[in-house]
Amino acid sequence: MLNAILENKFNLVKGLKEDSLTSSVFDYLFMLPDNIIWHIMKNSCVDNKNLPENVGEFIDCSFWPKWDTKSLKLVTNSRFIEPDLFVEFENYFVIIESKRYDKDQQDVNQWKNQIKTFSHIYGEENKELIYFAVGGIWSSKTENSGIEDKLIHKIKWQNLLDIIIKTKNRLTKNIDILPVNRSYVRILETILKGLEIHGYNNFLWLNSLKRNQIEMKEGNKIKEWITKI
Amino acid sequence: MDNKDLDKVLGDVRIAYRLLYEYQKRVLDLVSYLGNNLGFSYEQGCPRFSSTVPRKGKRVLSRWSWDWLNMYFYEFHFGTQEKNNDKITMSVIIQSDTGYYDGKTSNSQEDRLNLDNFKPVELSNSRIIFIFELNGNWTIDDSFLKKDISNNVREWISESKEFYGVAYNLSEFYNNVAIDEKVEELNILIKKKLNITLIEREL
Repeated sequence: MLNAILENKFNLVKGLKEDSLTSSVFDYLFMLPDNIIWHIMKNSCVDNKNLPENVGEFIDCSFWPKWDTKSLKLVTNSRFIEPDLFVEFENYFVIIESKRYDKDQQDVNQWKNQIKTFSHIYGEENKELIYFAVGGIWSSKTENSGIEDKLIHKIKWQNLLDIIIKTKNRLTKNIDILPVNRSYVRILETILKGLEIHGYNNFLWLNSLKRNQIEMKEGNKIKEWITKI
Repeated sequence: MDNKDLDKVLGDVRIAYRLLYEYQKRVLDLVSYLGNNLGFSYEQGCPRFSSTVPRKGKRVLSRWSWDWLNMYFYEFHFGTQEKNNDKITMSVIIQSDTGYYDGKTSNSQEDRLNLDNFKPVELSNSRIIFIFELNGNWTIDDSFLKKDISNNVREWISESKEFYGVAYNLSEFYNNVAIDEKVEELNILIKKKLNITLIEREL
């Protein structure tokens, strides 16, 4: 949330929106150890077969960087492009474009413009780009952006929440052996609170109901249980 | 029945209550998830099989036992969304048991008090019903729900064609992946029936 306030993206009067959600999650996610950051990102992506095992050390991140597009003719934005997050790891660059809800809000043209601009600015760096569309999707299937064969990896906020909970549970189990896990668990709990105020909760689903002891046909015996006086 | 049998029955009652607690917890999560993903905000709810759970007041002990079991057939009402020049309003109804509706032979209210009138459990169903209203003021009343709501009927449309309802088996909404698929199916259906796109792809 801090970055959203610093970059004037969060209006306390107008309330919780896409930028406050992005900030609530990623402000804190990048405080975790490098391997946990990538474990969460990669496993939140349902179709993750094309993602690397690790991306190296976290180096830096920028929230809503403004990339100058005045000299670029191939993009539709005439002045600048502003991806939600630009992250540099030791071996990869990552762009994150996030949307508020887990429903169709992502924009194919936005992806293309960001990738083209990235290539223009960072094309000569010897690092590949990984692009995440977070939220705003229905299909979780990875798709080709159509620009330089760059893939669009997709993450739903609900899936991110599920992985954060699982990670938190694993870290909690090992707290006696690794007391430092307490700090990581606190960070993850802060992220979960951020997701919760934006409407993403640890939902329980019907398929987790266990079959109880009453057999279905027994239900018809209710009238037999009632003794007629 | 002797005391031992009664103890067993009361054990079943405890199981039933705890099962209902777990079931209802999940139903509330399901309805909340649907609202979030369809872009509707929850406003209020009401039982559609009986009266609401009694609060303070007199004569509560003479009311139906069903009044304490509201989620037997319960409407979760969401607000209105504007879609271009149209307004669409939604309710999600949980029909935990179609047994009464499948078995009833009359519209007598007292039939609800006699389980003999209910279809056997294994032949009944649990359903979720979506009701949409196009460009109205949401005056859905019992007349719409007094139509046949048995398991045989899956779709309703009002004479004025401003209300449209569709039912699914609740078991099809078993986790978030399955729910997403059903919602996509619903999106296509509402587009066909009401010419409204609930979930829009921005181009």
